[in-house]
Amino acid sequence: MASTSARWLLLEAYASAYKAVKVYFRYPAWIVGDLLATPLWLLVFIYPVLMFLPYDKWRSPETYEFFYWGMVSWSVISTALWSIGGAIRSEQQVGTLEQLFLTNADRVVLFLGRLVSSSIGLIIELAYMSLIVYLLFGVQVRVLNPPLLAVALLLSLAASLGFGSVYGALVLHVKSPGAVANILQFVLVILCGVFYPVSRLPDFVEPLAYLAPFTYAIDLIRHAAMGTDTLLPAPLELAVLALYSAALVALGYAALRRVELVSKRRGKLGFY
Amino acid sequence: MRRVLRALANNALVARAVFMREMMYWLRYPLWFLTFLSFPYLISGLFYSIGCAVSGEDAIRYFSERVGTDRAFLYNLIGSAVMMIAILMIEDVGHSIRAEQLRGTLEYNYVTAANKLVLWGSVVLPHGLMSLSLVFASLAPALALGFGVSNPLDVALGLLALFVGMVPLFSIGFIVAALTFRFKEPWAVTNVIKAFISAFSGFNYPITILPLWLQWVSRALPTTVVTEILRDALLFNRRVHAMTHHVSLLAFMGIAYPLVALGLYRRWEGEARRRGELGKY
Repeated sequence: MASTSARWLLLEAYASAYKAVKVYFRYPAWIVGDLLATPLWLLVFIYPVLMFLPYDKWRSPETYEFFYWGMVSWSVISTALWSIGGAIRSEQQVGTLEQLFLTNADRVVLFLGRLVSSSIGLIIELAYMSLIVYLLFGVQVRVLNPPLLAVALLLSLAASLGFGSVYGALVLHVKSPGAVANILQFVLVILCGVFYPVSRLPDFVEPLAYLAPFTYAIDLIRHAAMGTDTLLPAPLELAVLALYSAALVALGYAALRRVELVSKRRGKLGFY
Repeated sequence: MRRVLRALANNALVARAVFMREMMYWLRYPLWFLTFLSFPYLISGLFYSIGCAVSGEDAIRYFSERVGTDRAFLYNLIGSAVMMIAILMIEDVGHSIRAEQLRGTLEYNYVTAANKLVLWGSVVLPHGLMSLSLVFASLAPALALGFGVSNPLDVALGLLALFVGMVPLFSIGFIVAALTFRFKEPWAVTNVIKAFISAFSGFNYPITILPLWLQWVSRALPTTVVTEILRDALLFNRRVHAMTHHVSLLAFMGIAYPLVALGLYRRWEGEARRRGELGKY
């Protein structure tokens, strides 16, 4: 019985991922656009921050490595906010959301596909952006502990899935995903120490940073890649991140179910 | 004469209909207002917080040495406001055709007797009005708090420059809208154009730090000129009427950009019609 359920779940995940990957590769212009825009967005963030730094930091490889891993971490946060919410929104727009919700498929798995295509994008970005950092600034991006980095990235994506599901439920409820996502994205980037260690935050903000799951994800990513100090001992931080991810996925699942029920009762599932 | 007047009246009706429709979309999602009002503050806050976190107390001193003012937040706020208006215009105008494709209503628009140029071009009116209002509303608190604004006349002239600067921005948005006919998925093109304009318009840094050839590219962007005029007027207390070079450059762009946009639109739309690809996406 359990194995049958698992088989169905895997089948649903496969179908969802298959569809998302097919859509992703259907528009090669997206991929080309991403490749062209990524170095430009990197400059959008690097130039203004350089204005605040002394000249010796302009030449320091560490400055650019911080930016590189900061941009990667930003992608993880964006994935959390846009993947599930964005998938729900696009199903609403093309008028297929009601049909999907008529099936007995798992509600989180149903929109998991977008996370798969986002992950493909993230892998391409990792490789491509390191090349861009090398070409623009002559800095070779280091990865000191590749296995730990892989684990940290996987756990970060799991946390993104959970956070994205909670946010997806909000999209289903308030209909417009972009508005809140844009504000939330900046708040998380500042709060979670995407471009700097959270220990540099003002004292009254620092405790809030410890509540956000992405703080640990970003801290671990930077530790694995650059060898920076972690907020907690690394194994403990991994455990905290894993627990956070599991809790967020459970919360997201419950939130999606609840909002779906309310929307169905009010007949507003397909409204957007 | 009567025929001309009737054509004008019909086109005004089309523009009004488009205006009402787009305004309804705007008002339907009121949360977006909050996003746009806060966007310049979030961007400025992000750079400011990164700078202060990395350089500590010396951050503003370094900033002042590189940029020429210690009012880092206002400097970034003005740039970020122009950045927001640019992104809004390019994205919203550019995505208008895509939205019709997704809803399956593009062909219906084409079977009406409305002038298609007016039909798609009118989209700029509601989006222009909204983005200008949002920029005013967003900058107003900072300006009202007296973050260094001098002459009210210069403020008014600076904002007028922003209004004139919208014309080339409309045109870029229109080019993206026309591109949708060709590439179907405008997001990719929009993303590159947005990133290019955001990276090289000097929204949050002086373009003098760029290599010389890139400074020339930057000066060809209307956003660079508008940002410099606004910053000179609001932050550096320079008189707008003394910036004849910038103002005449902006006026030239206000003519050149629409002409290029019109030419590209006619070409790509004609091609899509010939191939029967108008409604495909």
